[in-house]
Amino acid sequence: MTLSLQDLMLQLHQFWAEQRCVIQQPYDLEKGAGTFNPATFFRVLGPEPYRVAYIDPCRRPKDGRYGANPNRMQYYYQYQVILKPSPKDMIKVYLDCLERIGIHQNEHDIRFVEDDWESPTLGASGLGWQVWMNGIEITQFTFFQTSGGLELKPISGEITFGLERIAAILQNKNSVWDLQYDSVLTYRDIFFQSEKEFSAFNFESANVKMCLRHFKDFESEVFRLLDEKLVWPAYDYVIKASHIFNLLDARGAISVSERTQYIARVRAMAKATANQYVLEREALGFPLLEKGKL
Amino acid sequence: MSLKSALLEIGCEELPASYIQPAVSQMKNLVEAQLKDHRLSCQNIEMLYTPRRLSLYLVGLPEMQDDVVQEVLGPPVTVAFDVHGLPTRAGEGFARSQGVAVSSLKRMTTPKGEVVMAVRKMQGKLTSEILGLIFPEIIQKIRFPKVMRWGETNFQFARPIRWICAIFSKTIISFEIAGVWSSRETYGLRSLKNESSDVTNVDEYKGILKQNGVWVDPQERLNRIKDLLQTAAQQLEAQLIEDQALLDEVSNLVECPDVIVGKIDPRYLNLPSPVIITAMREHQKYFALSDKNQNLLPYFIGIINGRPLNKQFIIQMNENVLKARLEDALFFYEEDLKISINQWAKKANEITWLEKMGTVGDKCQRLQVLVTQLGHLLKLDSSKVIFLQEAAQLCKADLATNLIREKEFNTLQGIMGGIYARLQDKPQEIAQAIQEHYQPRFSEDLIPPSDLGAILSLADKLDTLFGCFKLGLVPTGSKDPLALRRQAFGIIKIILDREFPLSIQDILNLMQGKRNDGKYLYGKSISVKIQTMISEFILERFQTTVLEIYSRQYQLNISSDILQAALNNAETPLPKLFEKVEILTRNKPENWFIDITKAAVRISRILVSDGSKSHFKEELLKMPEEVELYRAVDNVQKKFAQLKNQYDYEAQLEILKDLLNPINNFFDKVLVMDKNKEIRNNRFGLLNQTLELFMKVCDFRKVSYF
Repeated sequence: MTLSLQDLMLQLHQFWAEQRCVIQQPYDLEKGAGTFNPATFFRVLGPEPYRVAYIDPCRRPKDGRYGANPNRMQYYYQYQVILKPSPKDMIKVYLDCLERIGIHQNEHDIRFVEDDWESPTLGASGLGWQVWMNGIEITQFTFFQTSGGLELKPISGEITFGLERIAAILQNKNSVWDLQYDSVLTYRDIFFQSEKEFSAFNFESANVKMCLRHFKDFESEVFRLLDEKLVWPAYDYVIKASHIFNLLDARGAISVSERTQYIARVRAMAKATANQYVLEREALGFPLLEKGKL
Repeated sequence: MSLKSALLEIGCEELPASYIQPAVSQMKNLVEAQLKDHRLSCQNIEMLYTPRRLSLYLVGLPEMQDDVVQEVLGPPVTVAFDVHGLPTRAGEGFARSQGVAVSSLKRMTTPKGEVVMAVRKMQGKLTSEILGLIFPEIIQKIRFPKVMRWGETNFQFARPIRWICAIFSKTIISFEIAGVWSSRETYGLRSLKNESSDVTNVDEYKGILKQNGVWVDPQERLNRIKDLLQTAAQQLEAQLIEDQALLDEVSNLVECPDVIVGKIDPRYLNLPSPVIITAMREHQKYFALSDKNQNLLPYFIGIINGRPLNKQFIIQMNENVLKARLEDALFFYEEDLKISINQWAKKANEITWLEKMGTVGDKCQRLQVLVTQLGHLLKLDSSKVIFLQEAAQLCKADLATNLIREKEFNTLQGIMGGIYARLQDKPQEIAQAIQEHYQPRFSEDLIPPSDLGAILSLADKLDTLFGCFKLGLVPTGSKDPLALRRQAFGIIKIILDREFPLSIQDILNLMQGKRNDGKYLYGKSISVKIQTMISEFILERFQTTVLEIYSRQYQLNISSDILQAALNNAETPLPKLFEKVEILTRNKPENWFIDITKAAVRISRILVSDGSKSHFKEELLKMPEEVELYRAVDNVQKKFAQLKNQYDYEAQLEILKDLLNPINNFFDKVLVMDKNKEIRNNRFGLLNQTLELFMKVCDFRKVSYF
């Protein structure tokens, strides 16, 4: 009996809830990766422990292929886990998680292949692995070292799965579009039309002038809100600016040298926000210091 | 006292493959140094490692340090004791500071008179105690290219440390580092068992790991992989395409090697073999196979970790990944073939090569001039020179192609250019020159087999060198971001292996070349400083290349003094310089060679005292020995001139022997420092001429017999 994509999601939630993770819901803004969710970006900062798992839709305008590519889409789901501080048995827990969804390590070639992770827009970096299953990358496993330009302590361990790819392996499908979402509907039934339309939007139709204007507006909004010590709203605008930048990039509206400058601008917003967040948590006396402990 | 063994195993989460061997090597050096400091002998230190453990196995350690007796000299006896023989305050103070009783102070006679001496006996410590100090210290001292922190510790290492197994014979060496306490626990292959196993006795270590699926001995593991590969290849009646670097890497990616054999979808076999092999190698780490005629076969062999049960599924998934990669490659390749290589060259010309040295197009223009000049220097047919010019124009075209712009296939630059040129019916020689012009890419790589390839490669490397030196991008110490040393190495290797008659002076002249429109390639005036830097840089590479590679290849025991002596002429073609080095090295131990060296040194010493350039007049010769030397010099000059080959160093050495007797007689009978200035200078002049003859062969003053 094959696991539907939806079963996979439910089982992962169940597993990580048992690991005493908070199961949060997707953050309601367009993001390029689960790392942008404040449940990761904010929570890895400062000394407060945190354990969280959530599913987040990722939007990567440049990866759109009008639904023609079997495993590349501009919209897909990441499963994201943050364990802060990273526990000693983190790899074991991860392998237990694979067992739970039917990937048994005594049956497969599971390998931890070195990988340095970096998000230039978030000013974040980490070391860890790509986890390979039978020659295919199934997970990004990272120990965050810096985020928002800040050195982190304690260190958070991050586990990120591409849900569609894992489901494709479990269902033995060569194309994401043929995945069973539940027992009746396929991935194609649900997402194909929007994938085609968004691909057209990302590459051909997005209003460049408006986007350029919005980027500027969002940028100034970030700093205005930070001045007012409204750090969560400010961060929303960092996320929005980052997405608009990705959209402009897909639209071919940004030259190579401009690209570096845009990335630096988003990073500056992320850094300022991260700093302000830590200050505010400190003023509150880092409320999760005791409660968040396992 | 019986000897014991010890073990240090640092258990980690998967370390980057390239970090492992260097880390254990550092550990070994650190432990050796520390043991020496602590006066502990050790018969052997074995380096054992896998991606999850860095281990040292120390064999033949004593149980304790030897006792030592330390003698410390103190103040003079007359200061330490008074006239009655009673200790003074100074005497008591010294004894106290050394921790001995005043009554135990001994006396010692030294050149400074009689002093008191404290004799301290220090009992040897237990080896286990010393290892407890050494082990945590060396773990802290291991350096990695990149480090990280984890959990709540501040400790930095390449990846998290999860256990430390440290044992001396049967005893745990107990210490804590990075929040981990050492113990006798080790862990086997993760997929077999998640619990620890106890190492009760150090000697069981390898056995316990083997039982738990871990091949901890790197050599054994490597051999196992080779066997697996060979067996798999034999079953397919195929030949494994050798790839030592891949073998080394793969062996540090697994703890328990096993093998899978997969098929390549025949649809992709139309891709050029290098593309398929690269797609298999770069990400997937697969080995390729060929038939007897070197044709690629549609199989791959992968080395996997552990002994997984579901091999069929593993193979299927691996085949699928490869298929996706080859699908990408095929798409790029077909796109690349849609336009001509000349059109790709036009696109590539726009790419910046080096800021201020312009674009790839500028580089190719310079290459066209350089290959033309090289072609003339090497007396190439004009038809070949025309081929070379076209090859120079097209050699960087592939930089713009879709395939080469993919990181994964970037290593195929040159090779793809060659393939595209051939497919578009460019003459074979042009295609081959393009294909070979990056060779040698690394120190064991072949130099370009074809003439045109060798010349184009030489031009390309010279241009990079000239361009970088012109911009002041000169390698310093360990910093050589543009790999200029490797470029210079390639230059030397090509010139020597191909016996191109090119000298340092020729190279410097090339740098001052002009284009057809009269513009200078690297600017109008190349300063003397830059010229000196370049010639020194190339000569330095010449020396290291000769010492590191050719001395082995020709089984010559070349010493650096001979190199220094031989490199005294910028106009001598480099292959001739090497011949000279060879001849000098062979003859250096001969008595007559020693005599020649001595004579040259003797003359040069006298000439040093004379600053002025002296003029020589035959009629000022007075003594018969002077005349004899003069005749000998004259004779040697004539014989040198008669040599058919000006680089016949063997013959030149033979001729120099004629000077030995006259020189000896001269020095026996003639006083150079005559009171008469004119005569004195005349003798200097004669000696100058004599020395010049020696210098025609080499600078004997640099030859050293110590």
